[in-house]
Amino acid sequence: MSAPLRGLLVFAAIIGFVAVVCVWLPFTFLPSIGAGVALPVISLPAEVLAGNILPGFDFTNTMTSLLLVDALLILIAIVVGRAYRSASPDRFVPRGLTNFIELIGEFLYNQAYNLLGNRTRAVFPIAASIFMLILVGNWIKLVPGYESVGLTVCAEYNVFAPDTEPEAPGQLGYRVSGLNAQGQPAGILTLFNSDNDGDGVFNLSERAGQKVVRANTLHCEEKYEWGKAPLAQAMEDRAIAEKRAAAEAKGEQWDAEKEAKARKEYHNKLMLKVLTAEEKAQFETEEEKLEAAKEKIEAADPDLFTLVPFFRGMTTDLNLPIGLALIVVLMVQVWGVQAQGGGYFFKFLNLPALGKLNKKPLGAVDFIVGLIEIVSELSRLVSLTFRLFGAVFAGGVLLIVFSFLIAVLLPVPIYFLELFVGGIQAYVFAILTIIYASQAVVHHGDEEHGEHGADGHH
Amino acid sequence: MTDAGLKFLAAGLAMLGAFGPGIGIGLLVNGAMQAIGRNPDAAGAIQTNMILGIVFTEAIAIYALVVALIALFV
Repeated sequence: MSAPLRGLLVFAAIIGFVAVVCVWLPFTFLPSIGAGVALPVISLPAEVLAGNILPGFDFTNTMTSLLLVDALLILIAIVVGRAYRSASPDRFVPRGLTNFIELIGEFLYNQAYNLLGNRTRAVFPIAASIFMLILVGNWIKLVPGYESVGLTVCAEYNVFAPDTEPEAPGQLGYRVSGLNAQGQPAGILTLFNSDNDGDGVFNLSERAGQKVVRANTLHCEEKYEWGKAPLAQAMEDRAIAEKRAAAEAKGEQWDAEKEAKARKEYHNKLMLKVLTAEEKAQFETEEEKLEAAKEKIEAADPDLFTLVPFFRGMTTDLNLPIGLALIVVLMVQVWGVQAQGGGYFFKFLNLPALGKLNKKPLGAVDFIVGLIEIVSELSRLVSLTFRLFGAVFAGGVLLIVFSFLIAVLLPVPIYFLELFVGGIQAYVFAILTIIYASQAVVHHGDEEHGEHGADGHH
Repeated sequence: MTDAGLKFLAAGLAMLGAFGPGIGIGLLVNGAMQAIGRNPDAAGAIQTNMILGIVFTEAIAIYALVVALIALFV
């Protein structure tokens, strides 16, 4: 068989495989057994794994991710450090991991040294640490299973506050493939959307499904007691704690009976959210409304779940990039003061220019430019934060969307793109730290010399 | 039009912000390619700086994307 013909056969096999797996399976077979295909649930805020571990503080899945990456980095540091210490310095040939780390370190150090000169020692450790943290965080998130293994919780976990209306269009959920010995959903979740309004159409935009999904959620939580989302539990606990604090402030005694009553009230409030405004108008008393809500809840399909992954790429949570950016912007001020003393702040509040107004009236412009510097410092914070967060979060969404469109082969190049983007974003964050630092440590006197030189030419 | 429909529309409109960065990256690569053509020896340094410039330009598109994602998923 000639090479082109064999190539044609392989090509036809790939096309056939893709057609079966990506067209027939999701669009013909799955709907025929009562399930539809939908985009998975994408949540912008990090999902809560354990609520209220400190008062008002929830433990999210990006935090587990950060802890994992920290552990990994410490491990790398120990291994590489030992390799360097154990060998004689003049005959040491780094290999494997050590070589890779040395490659990265040398590349970054040379860049830093070109920009910073003798200030490199102060800036480089922080820039390099940030680089390694972001790099490992961005790459480890691409490991299969990292963002897809987790707790199953009843759908609509992220809009579970009793005082907010659900905004998401017909909340999507996963239907579980089977039940375990205890009658709880088990096995691999399949990515289906329930047919919320019963018209036989499984789509993303079942607006009417909002209230029904809330009913699903409540029914689900009743049926599977463990299915309650940690965030929902935390919100309930906080609401109860607030009530308790208010009662105790008034000098009332708080006991188990009162707590049970408060929880009951909270649940009733949640139940009433199931009814639409028209349905609520049909009933007068609270009891009748609750009764109607209960009926609706019991008619709903409880087997809809969403996933709270144990790990989630740490830079897909806005808090980490903003934390790193705050560190960088604050440290840049510190390095500026270290290099120039208190005179560094004349960059923002240009008092010398104001003092020399009688000689150089145009110094007023310098003063105003100094004020604009403050804004530019703040805009650095914003741009550092959103560049990193946006690129990585969008990359995750891109992967999800592409795997949804065509589940085989197509995501592979996207994975390589994500590897590239993850590395580039880490590098950009580190190199920007170095550039900002190099701007801060340069003495402003140089500029004045330049101005005098320019004056001389006139 | 439903609220959710408006959301999709808003996300689409937000992505108009990718217009400028698209032109910008085009100009950047244009300049870099011309520079490499004139001075092939400096290709390495030019490429590094080009990628840096592209990343900064791309950041604007990413802001638009973040707005679109917030409109869609929050």
